[in-house]
Amino acid sequence: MDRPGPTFEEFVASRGRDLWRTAWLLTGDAHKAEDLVQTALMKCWGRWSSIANDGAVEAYVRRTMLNTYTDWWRRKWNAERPTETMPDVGVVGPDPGLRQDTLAALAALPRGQRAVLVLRFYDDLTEAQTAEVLGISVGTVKSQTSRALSALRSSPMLQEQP
Amino acid sequence: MTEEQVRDVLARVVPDAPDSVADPTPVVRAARRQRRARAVGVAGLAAVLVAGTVLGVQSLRTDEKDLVADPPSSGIPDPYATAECPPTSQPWVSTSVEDLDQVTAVRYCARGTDAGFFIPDGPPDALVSDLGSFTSLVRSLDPADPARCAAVDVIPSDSRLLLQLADGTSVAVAAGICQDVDAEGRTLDGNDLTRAFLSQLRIQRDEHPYTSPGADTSIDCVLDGTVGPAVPGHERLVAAVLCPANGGAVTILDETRLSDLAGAWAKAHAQQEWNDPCPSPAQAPPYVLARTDRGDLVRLDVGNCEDVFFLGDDPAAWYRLELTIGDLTGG
Repeated sequence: MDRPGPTFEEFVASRGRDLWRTAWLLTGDAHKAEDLVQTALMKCWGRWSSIANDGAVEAYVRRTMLNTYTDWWRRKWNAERPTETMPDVGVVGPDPGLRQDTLAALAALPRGQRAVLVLRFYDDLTEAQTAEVLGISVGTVKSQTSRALSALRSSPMLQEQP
Repeated sequence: MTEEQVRDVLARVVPDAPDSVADPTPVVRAARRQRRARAVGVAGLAAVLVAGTVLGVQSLRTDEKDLVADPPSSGIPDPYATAECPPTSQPWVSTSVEDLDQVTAVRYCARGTDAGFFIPDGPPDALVSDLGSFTSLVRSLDPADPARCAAVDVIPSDSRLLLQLADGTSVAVAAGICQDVDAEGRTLDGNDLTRAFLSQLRIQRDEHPYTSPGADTSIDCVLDGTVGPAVPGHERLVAAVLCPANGGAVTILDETRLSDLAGAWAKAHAQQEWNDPCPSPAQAPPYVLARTDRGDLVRLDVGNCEDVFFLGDDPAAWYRLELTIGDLTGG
């Protein structure tokens, strides 16, 4: 007999922080990251029984969050514009200079490349898993990854990193 | 910078998450609030529809003025005013979309061909929310199948899907079966794209209880091809006419018959198997064209047993209404 999926409360308690970290890398802003995670979770809440029984809760929630992120960017009222600097980091911690430089380098990437980069190299998803979450082909994941890495290599912000 | 260095940098710069994101209570509370708000919206909508049905019938009996209903909800851009179709005198030019991530709204623009024997109608509202899901759906579509299209006769149509882009421009891609669409370098079937659009529009309607701000209750029996997400139990009928199959007088359904039709429509359930045991009648039966609260035009047909049925967007499902054409004609 299959093990029942986690309850909504269990999932948020165990995975909420990880989702927020991914959202933070996507948005570069602590408050937007929290909004993004909560909006995605709210979308999933009403369908939780079917999501939890599907056996792919994590993938479903992550995909919902990525779709929400893409959707927010499209909305004119989100007022996000391409920029060389990311918004307020909003948190303190070690090496704030590296953090700011990394966010600036990520901010210079197109949203698609940024999402691929975060899923591949922060969330450690495979190319196939990244393709599934973003709803794109594996070939597109490969090409987006290549372009993103190339852009980071030429970014003056990160050239001094070991 | 190697892949490993990227992993290392990302891991080093990500801060600790706040405790609040591991607490489900605020999310559940907000989701419940949202659900209650929607329930109130739907209840309000139902009240408007009762009034709207009466208003609609009265307007048909008088001077066919527009029905006044709820304005679109404020949570999303106005789906009725976003990405308007160009005038039909303006020929279509584009057939491809280079980057689906740029799409901010999608609208179905119905157009017949020069031959004029097939006059279509489409949903009056545009897809303006959750474009990310639409994009994902389109990217997951199988490529167009030329072999299948070589074997079928297709009703000609010049309808397009108008894709509004983030820079304010728009492109129009083919919307019909066996019409090629170039989407990010892939060749898709226009009909598959239209189905993706309609399925997302269905979700948008279920999540946002907007109604047409000026639902047109006048119905012209010349219109015969309807494309839309409307299905029984979701949209409500606010006006209807009986169209004779071979010309003749159009009959506007009066308040009582419209109420009967709307009630049967609301209760109809999807069925998978077609069952029409009666012999074909000597004369082609009339059909019903009805307007919904969302502004759609839906066509209901009459079976050999005089029952009224509806074929929706999903070709695998049909709906039989619990009344006969005799209930609507008084015969």
